[in-house]
Amino acid sequence: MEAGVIETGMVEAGGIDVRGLDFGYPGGEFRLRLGELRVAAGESVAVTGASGCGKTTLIHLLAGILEPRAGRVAVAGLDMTSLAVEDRQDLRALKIGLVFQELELLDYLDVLDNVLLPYRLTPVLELDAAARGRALELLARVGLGDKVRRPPGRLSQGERQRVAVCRALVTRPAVVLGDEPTGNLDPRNRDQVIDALLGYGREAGAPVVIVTHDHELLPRFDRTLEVGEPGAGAAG
Amino acid sequence: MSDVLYLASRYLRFHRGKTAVLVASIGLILFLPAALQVLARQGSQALRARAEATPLLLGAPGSAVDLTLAALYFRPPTRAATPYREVGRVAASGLARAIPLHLHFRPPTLAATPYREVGRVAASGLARAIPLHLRYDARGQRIVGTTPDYLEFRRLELAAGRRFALLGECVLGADAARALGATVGDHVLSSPAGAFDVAGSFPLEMPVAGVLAPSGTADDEAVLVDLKTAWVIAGLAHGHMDVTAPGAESGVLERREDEVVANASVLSYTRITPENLDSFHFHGDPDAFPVDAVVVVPRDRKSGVVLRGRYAEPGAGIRMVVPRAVVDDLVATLFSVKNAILAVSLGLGLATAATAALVFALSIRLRRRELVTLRRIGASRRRVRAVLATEVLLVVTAATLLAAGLTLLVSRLGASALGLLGS
Repeated sequence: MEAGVIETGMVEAGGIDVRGLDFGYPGGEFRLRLGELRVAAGESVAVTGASGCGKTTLIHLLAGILEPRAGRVAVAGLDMTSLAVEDRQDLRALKIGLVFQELELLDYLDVLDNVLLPYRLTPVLELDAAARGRALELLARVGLGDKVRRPPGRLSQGERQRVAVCRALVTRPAVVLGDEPTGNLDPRNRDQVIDALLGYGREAGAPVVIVTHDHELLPRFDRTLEVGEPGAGAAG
Repeated sequence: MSDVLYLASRYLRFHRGKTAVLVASIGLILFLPAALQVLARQGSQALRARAEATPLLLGAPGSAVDLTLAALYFRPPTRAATPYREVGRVAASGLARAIPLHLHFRPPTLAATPYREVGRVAASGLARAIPLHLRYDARGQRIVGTTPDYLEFRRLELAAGRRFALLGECVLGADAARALGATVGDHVLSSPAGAFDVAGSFPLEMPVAGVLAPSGTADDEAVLVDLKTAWVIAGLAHGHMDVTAPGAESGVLERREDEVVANASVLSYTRITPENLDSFHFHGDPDAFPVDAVVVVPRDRKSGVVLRGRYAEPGAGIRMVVPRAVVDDLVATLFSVKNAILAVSLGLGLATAATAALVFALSIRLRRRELVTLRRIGASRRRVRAVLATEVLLVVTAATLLAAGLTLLVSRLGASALGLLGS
């Protein structure tokens, strides 16, 4: 299938710019091709499509977790495909906030330590009083201000996902990516999580790209990208 | 690094049960060979120290190990008695014949040496001879019959009182005084060797002349008496009322021209006092009286060699041993046993290490999702490995500290327990 082009307006330094993307797993038949995807700063995009069409793969490519065979993935003004693995990890820690449906919290750390985890895992981030303050503020904003010392095992599924959102946003990322972050949540918790992610995108001027199967959520996004559609991306 | 340490320590603290089991099992497997090594070293040092301080020993032919252990640690030369009722019990079973053996005067483990050997060594001019008589005890504390020379030879200090000077007096080792609850001026009663042994070894009440300062050696547990006092306890000497005195007719069985035969009503003294001291006398030739070992202190090295040569001659009837050589043989045997135990410990250690490695490997597999999360958040592979390696390091460090603490404890306790083997 030919790569398509999706116009999303001006690509800014804080945006996402994908061109001529071609990805396939080694030894596998699955292929994902994407002619062009531009997401401007502060813009939100919902990614939809049938199961197995490559939505999660696209998020992983945007996050630099996977490396395309060909094409260019620029995030926050940096071409991920030209970076070494270690640099992509640093870029991910510094610039990208990731929320997954099953992005697990560590049961041996309390809520606050889970939110601050990126600071403990990457030497490029410094865990200082400002970071702690930001973590506490984020937790308070999602209604978990009184549970910062609780172990994740004593939280509800919705609360756990809100903690994961705080962890994704605590580094003030330039880009927010989500892979079905509301997949297991009831409507109330779902709305709280989406509010937090989209609200951050608007406030920080960060592009937000989120995979979702929930069609009720689509009107909340600026645009929708249907992976697998002719002219968008395809699994083959 | 502090972040890696923080994450690793939080994980171990959260899984404290698993961590405790790992630390305990690794700690124990490190502790066992270490403690064995420490105890073996302390034991051999203690054994050797007292043996080195004792140049030569004389004793009856037989086991050199028995002679050495008896002389150095006052191990009783005889076996514990078995009540005669056991003979009847075996016979009554109808399953076997029971043949009793009474070996009190010829102990199977260490035969007596005649006292004349002490004089013979002294007469040679080559060495001092210090006799030891070890057959009796006072409520479990070994009565050591010897000469006052012994205290000087072992450099034993008095904490109270004075050395034994009169027949019947005793000097207590520090532990013996504590065990018997006695001090200077009290009396200690020797335990009878047999309740119905009419031939002698009746209980003798001994005044305590002195108490030794603790020495950390077998001397602490001894009740030191003059050799003649030990012979009194053995029944080789005794004192009784004067049957030749006027008014003692009731105790006379038969009066001959040159001797008086006393009857059973004659009162034997069980306590030696200034008033009855003169009535104590020996029956038989004191030169033939028994001693269990003789500590021989040569004048010089050459004198020692000459003496050893004399006693090595065929037909000498008495043997001379070098305690150091005997203990070296003993220690070599102990060390071969220790090495066998160490080999087993090594095997156990390898098995434990393999099990611990398996536990860690399975743990990593179970934590795969967590590790994937760390990588997605931005942790490098090296960082994740550092966290895992730090967890292992913390467990091994805690186990090593546990093993070191236990080994230190054992070395302290072992040192005090082995103290009685010291010089």
